[in-house]
Amino acid sequence: MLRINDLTKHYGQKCAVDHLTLHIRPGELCAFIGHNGAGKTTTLKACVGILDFDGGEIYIDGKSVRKEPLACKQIIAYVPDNPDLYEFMTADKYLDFICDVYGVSAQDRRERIQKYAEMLELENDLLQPIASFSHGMKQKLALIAALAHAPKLLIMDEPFVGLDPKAAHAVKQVMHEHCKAGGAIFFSTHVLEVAEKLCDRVAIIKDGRLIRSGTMEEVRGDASLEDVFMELEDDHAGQTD
Amino acid sequence: MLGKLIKLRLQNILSRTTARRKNGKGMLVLFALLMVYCFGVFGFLFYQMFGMMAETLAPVPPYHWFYFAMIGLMSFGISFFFTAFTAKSELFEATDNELLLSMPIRPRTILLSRMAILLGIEYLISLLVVVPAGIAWFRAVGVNAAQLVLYIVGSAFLPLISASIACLVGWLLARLTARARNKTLVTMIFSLAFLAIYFVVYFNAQRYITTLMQNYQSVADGMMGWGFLFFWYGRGVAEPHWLYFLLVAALAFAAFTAAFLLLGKGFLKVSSSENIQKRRTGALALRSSKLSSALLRKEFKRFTSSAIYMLNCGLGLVLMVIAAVALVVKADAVRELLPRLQGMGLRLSELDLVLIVSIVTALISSMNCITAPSISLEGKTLWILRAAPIPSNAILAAKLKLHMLLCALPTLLLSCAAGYVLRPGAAGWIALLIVPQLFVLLNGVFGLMMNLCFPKLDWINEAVPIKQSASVMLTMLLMMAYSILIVIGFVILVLLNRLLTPTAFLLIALGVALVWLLLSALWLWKNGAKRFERL
Repeated sequence: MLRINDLTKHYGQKCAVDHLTLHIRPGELCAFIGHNGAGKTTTLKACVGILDFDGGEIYIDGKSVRKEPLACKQIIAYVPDNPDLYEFMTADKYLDFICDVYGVSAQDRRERIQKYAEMLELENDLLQPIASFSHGMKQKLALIAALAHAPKLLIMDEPFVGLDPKAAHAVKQVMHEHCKAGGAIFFSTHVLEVAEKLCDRVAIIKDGRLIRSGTMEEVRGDASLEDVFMELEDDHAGQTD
Repeated sequence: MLGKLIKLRLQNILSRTTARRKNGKGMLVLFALLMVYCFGVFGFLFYQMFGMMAETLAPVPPYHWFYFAMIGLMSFGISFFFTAFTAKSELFEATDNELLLSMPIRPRTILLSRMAILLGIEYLISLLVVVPAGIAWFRAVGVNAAQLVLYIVGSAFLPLISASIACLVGWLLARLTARARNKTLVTMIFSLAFLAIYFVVYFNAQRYITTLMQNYQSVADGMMGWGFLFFWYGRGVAEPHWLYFLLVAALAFAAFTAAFLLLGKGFLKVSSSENIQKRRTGALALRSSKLSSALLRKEFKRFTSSAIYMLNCGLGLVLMVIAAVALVVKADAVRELLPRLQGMGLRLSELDLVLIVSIVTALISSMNCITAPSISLEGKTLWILRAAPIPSNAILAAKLKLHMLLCALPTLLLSCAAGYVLRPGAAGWIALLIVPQLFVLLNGVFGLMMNLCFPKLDWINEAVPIKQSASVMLTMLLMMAYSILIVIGFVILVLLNRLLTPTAFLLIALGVALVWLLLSALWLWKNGAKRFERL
């Protein structure tokens, strides 16, 4: 579903992503973890096609993000870490706009929006202006908008930030459902416990380089993900020193 | 901390942010150009106006103070008028207010930094009056060193008072709009009321000045009472009278301090956006539409949701409707224009007049620069369009389409009104209908191009991309410069030297506009999408 081959991105002299290669198959839920500034958001943005990259290639369902950006965007959805949405719209109008952009039929949009709004307990706020929403409500709305066109691949940057425990639980449920139905999810998180419990794959990035990836069992072995992560961070720091 | 906050705000105003270029030099040059333009146009107007007053008052020493009082009054009025709404957005609607308020910074320090920026704007605006009026006076009566020094120092006092009042009005407007269900509508009503006053004063200025100069003694006597501040200022500078001068200084500092203390009390409450809007109720009504319609609707909603956007970039729409009505009402006077011009020795044919009117209509329509800030206004929400499967050209087309839809109809109305009044032949009608629409398109295409070249996406106050961005300034300045060139060219080449016939000159002017449009459109076609994708 998502194939990142040798991805490289520089910001001036700084190498943000260094020859990163990662594959995610349909039905897989992959957590992307790393310290702040490790290159997670840069990688995610490159996958979504909103950030140009210097080297490598990214394929979504076999299509190149560079060569066929619109075809790729049609089957993916992105939820950024900070959900800046159109505050001049009401939530329902925003969802309508997103559905129009993806060409979702009237019936499908109604069903999906109702379903996810109920799951995330936003159904009573859909007629309100987005400007009146809290961060968590915007996060929920961004997620509903992302799911409204039934994407094959969901890319999320820190999706649990700002969510209350109930909403976070609902989001995890949605993520599971999505992957069960054959979709794939690639998301960044700092909450290692969530990644450990939720995901079947994990990728660890440090200073732009992928230092470990594989199934959760392969990566953590008998230890906890936190222990592995800390160990890898220290090892890598030692190597770079 | 205060210095840092002011620097931060100035950086936000002056910086042009793209991923590739992060220097503010271009912006500074543009600001400088804008200042030169404003000083050129307004300076000339005020120099003429105060030149008339100086001629009348210079031979009457007991009324010299009245001249300076009038400078004070004019500078005060203009500064206040142009900053009342800026005060509202600058002080209470900056999106970083909540962030700053959450930091260990005293709310009053944040307020003072905002007031300082506003004061800076007041000083800049007051210079438009103070400099030409001063030149007019000292040319008429000669330079008196004490008077000159006091004039320069005294000119720094009055903006303190106008800034204080503008801040209080801004606070009042922020309070009123915070409680209103439709903030945009309330802001629009207040703004249009302000503009109506502005236009009434502007169009009657000449008459007011003439009446004023005929009755300056009685007006001056009255000013000693109702306009005591300006009387003190006038006497303080003209005589010079130290007591009055110090009184003005004391009053100015007291007013600014009072406004600061007063607003400081409610700053936290007003700026932390208490939202008391009623909740919308009803059933969820979703409806599907085509991508192009969805994009256009989104652009329309963006435009109509912002009073500052509508007023600064769409005011010409209202003016065109007013101009159309005025043309029909004053039809007879306009019809007499051609014989009168011909009587003055100008060899103008009917078609020449129609071409002139069509270009004037076109230039009025050029006041609407809806596309120029439209990309910058995406701001932090740009990711939505970038992450969606929308061809970049479709996004740009929606922005241009909104411009055309909003501007084409009022322009057509004005063209029809002109046609009704002038009753031209077929060629005249074609000119009236096509030329203004050509300029509407030019403005839209060129504005979009400018915004792609000079995007400003990191704004914290939407007034920045709308009022202070390079794209809007350049679009407006170049359109204005072109209109000025047409006027100057017409006077020099047609009226004075008769090197060209009016029709030939106007056709050349149209040809230049057409080439400009084609080049801009070609650039947009070849580079627009690429530029948008690199933002």
